Amino acid sequence: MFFETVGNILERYGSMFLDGTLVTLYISLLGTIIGLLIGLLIGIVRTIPLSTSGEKNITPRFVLLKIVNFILSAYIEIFRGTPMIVQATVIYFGLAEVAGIDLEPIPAGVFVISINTGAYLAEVVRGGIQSVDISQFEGAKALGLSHWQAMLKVILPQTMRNIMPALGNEFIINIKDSAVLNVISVTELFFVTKTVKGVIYKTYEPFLIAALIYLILTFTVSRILRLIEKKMAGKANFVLTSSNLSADDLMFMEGKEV
Amino acid sequence: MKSENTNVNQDSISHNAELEIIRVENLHKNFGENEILKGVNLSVKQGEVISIVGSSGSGKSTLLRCINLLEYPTKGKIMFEGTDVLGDKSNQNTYRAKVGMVFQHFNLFSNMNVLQNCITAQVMVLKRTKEEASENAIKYLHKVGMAEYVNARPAQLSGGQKQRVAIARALAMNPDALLFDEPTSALDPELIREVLKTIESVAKDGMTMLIVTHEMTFARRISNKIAFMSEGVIEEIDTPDVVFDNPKSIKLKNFLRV
Ligand SMILES: Nc1ncnc2c1ncn2[C@@H]1O[C@H](COP(=O)(O)OP(=O)(O)OP(=O)(O)O)[C@@H](O)[C@H]1O
Ligand SMILES: [Mg+2]
Repeated sequence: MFFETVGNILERYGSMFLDGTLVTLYISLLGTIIGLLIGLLIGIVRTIPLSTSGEKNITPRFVLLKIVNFILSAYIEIFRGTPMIVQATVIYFGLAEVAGIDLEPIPAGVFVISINTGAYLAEVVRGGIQSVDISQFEGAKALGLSHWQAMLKVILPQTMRNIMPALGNEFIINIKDSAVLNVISVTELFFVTKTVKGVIYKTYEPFLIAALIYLILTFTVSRILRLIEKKMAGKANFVLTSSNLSADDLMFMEGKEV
Repeated sequence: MKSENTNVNQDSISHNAELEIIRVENLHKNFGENEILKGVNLSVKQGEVISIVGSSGSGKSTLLRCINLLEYPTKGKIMFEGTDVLGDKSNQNTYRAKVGMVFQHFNLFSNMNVLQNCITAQVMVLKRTKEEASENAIKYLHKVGMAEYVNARPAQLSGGQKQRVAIARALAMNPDALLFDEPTSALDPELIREVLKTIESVAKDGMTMLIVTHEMTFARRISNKIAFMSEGVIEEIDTPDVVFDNPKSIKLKNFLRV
């Protein structure tokens, strides 16, 4: 009886479930990526030293950074301190009523997930940057690299490795929590399931299917992320090279697994 | 800029022994309330090797870190090849590139292999091409006996090997002076010799060097001068024979006795 029902649902509404699944994946992946960019940007800005010379003078740079940091902390606190379902509603309907901006549900959904994720990842990135040993920064500075060059070449690559687990976690949370975007009519998996339920007058079966799909998504993603983390940890072995290598040989080898 | 890069050490240095590379005048450094450097004066001529000795906490590291601006002096003057380093803030990264630093804990970039460690700053700061940088890096990796390890990651090397790579990385910038802060203090006893030998051979090439060390016999053998630091000032500075055999101040006598 149960399996029959499920089979019937899948047969008739399978493509709807598939579409919903794709929307869920799309908005959570895009939202996580944009959120990461926001988080990186904010994390980087918040670790700019207030003064270049170690003096604690009140320079324009100092004041500007203080103001920017205040605004960024406010953003982080607000978006971490309120439920995403409330954020989505306020942004979607608020933008429409106050500013006359009528966003399509899917872009609106991506927007909400992005800024929500950005607020979380900003803190993660800051922690990730700060957990890179200070000696890495000093080594770079002593060679004449600027703050930005050191960030780009030395600190951020190590930060990325540090934050990979948190980033993956955030992606998985977004896959699940994007369900709340049904309140602004984003046609993601949960929305689609509700629609199906409304048509067939069955309650728990469609949602059980949805649960299974969410589980498959999150499980697969977490496996893939673990592989990526392993890859980022680097090879355990290296190969001694003959000491007569020319620079050309090395250019050739560089970046390759030898 | 590029033409001056090659073979600076071997050819030009030591012919002009009166040229002053580093001049420190009345240098002060406070950390909060604590005055750590209390008016240091020091002159380092081209090709000179000066070892700085003194008890723990006397300000040796702070002095070196001030000289290459990892710490910003509270007061005083640092002249480098006749220009005032603290005056012109826009050129400080260029200045740092000309003064190499070798740290107690190596400070190799853990996200890069040995070769990348040695070329990144050459490319980013000195604007050398990757080919030029690799060739130069390999030349100095050869010198320190680490050319076979271009593909290794810092984590895969012994302490002595790491420090030799760090020395090659500093040399590859073709600096006009090198600062060493206790380069062997973090090493197992059996690894100290290989690093000291490397430093000695760099000194023989005519590199201008300031070395903070506890290796007294080594300091005596390779230095033109020994500077004894105590409580934030250079208490005595003279030839190794005078400092070790005819110490003047009570503090130095006490220091040498233990
Ligand atoms: N960033 C800092 N903030 C506050 N105090 C500091 C800082 N760096 C160093 N000090 C203090 O300055 C004093 C001198 O430190 P420094 O590291 O220069 O000594 P040192 O001569 O190198 O000693 P050692 O032989 O142990 O390396 C110490 O008392 C130390 O606690
Ligand atoms: Mg020290």
